Amino acid sequence: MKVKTADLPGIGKRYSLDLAEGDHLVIILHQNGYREIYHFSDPDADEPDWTVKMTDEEARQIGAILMGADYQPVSDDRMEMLLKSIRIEWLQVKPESELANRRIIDSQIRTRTGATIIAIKRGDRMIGSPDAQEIILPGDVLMVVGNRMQTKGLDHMCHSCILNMPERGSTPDSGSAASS
Amino acid sequence: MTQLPFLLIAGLILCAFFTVSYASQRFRFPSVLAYILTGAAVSFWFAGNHLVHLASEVGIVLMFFVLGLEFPLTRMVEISRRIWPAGLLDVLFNFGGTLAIAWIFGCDGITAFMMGSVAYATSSSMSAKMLDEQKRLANPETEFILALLIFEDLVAPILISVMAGAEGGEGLTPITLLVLMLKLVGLTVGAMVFGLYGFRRAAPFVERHIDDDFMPLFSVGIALGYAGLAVYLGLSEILGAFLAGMMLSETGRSRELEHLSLPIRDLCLPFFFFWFGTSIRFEEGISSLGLMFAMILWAVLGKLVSVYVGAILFGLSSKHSFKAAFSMVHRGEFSAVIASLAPASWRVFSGIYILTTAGIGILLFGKASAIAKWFEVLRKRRLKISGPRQLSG
Repeated sequence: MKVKTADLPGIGKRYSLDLAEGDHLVIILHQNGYREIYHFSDPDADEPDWTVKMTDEEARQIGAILMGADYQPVSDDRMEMLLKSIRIEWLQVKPESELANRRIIDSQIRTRTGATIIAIKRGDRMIGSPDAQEIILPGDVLMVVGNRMQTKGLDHMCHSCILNMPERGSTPDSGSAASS
Repeated sequence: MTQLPFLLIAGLILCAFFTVSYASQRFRFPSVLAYILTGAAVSFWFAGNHLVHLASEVGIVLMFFVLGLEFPLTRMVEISRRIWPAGLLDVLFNFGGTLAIAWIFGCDGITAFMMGSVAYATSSSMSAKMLDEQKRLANPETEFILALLIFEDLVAPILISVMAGAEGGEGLTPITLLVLMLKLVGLTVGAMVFGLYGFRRAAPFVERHIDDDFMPLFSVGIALGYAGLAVYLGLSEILGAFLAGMMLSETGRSRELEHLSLPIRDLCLPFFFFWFGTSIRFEEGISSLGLMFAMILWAVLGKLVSVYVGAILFGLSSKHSFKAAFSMVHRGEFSAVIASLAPASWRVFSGIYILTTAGIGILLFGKASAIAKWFEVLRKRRLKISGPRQLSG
């Protein structure tokens, strides 16, 4: 499934995707937290067939339900394959890490490792899908998604001053959440 | 008016604003226009009210401050890089074209410049609201429209600054223009230096205290302060406020700082449009009906042509370009900001101009899809007829 993203300056972000059944969905994340889903049966139509609007909290709950947080309909072996290709890990940022006190965009995390930060846990606070302008602080716990190589690369960045210096703080004290 | 206690007046005004705003939302009428009309209707009581003017100034400063926070210069430049051909075309047609029209009708240089600026920008607030309400956020032309609006946001403060500078002096001579440009550059460079070397370092401080009760003081203080500095230098407070937002965005906490300033902005901004309304005195009349008619005609035609061509240059299909063009005619808050700098007689003129173009623009916006479809059919038919012969016209 290919997801196309676009910035809507002043409004938020837009994701458009085609589903296997032929439907075209457009998801809009408003800056003020609202989410909207537009449904098109014809992608070129001027007006959506229907739209749904939900608050930030509703969207998160719905998202969790869709992700299968509560009930997992996917058969076991397929789930395992999913886990092999995609891992979600929690990584702690050490004070000496090159990421500390820099903006996400400046560290070029995605270009260099391929992994994506989906949330930052800072003390009691959770920052969901952080902005690229966000400054990572030492002690932050990053929730990252990517394949094994990618998350490993980011793990190194969390520990060492320079990338490709793997054997410094070799074992992360925060274990991986998704793999066995 | 002055016999009533201040608190009572303030309370009544705020409640009235609430009613106007709520009603305008219910009836899907742009609140900006509702405030202006309300102001014009009761201008008799509020003429020259000092407090309304003060609140309106704070409102307008915070409006541009929030804009600067939302679109730091780097992001603006990034967006502008894709949109600049359309953006320049927009400036040329709608600012330049109107300036030329006003000139032909015998206005002097400064007045013509002012009319050009009033006519230039499409209303961002109305566009964003209507795109959302009419569920057009998914359409391909939406990105283009929003990007072009941001380009206008970037040009408008510069136009306003040039005008504010020209008002202070004895008109525009090459020397005053040079001094003005130097001041402009100075203020901008100052903001960049503060941003990159001051506020970026202050990021941990902002981060630590973002939830504390003194942070609104911090952000609004800097907004008003830098805007005031711009006024002190003979520039426009709007540019100062915009730059203040830009430099604070370097702390990387734009979103939170914006949230701190929004309540104050929402309290004060209605005062601006209301105040602008009160400053429209219909009894003063319009100086030139011919000019008004020509400008309104050009407001529609100029925008249609420039946005259509700009959208084609941007890479949209002709159908979507038509739709974009018919969605950008309405003028609004920017024109009001610029018109508020104008002498009283021109304010009436601009007020009527804004209300008319906004009305036409809203109508066209609602019909944009249908009109685009119709044009597309027409264009295809013409292509079919003229296709085999030559590609002419």
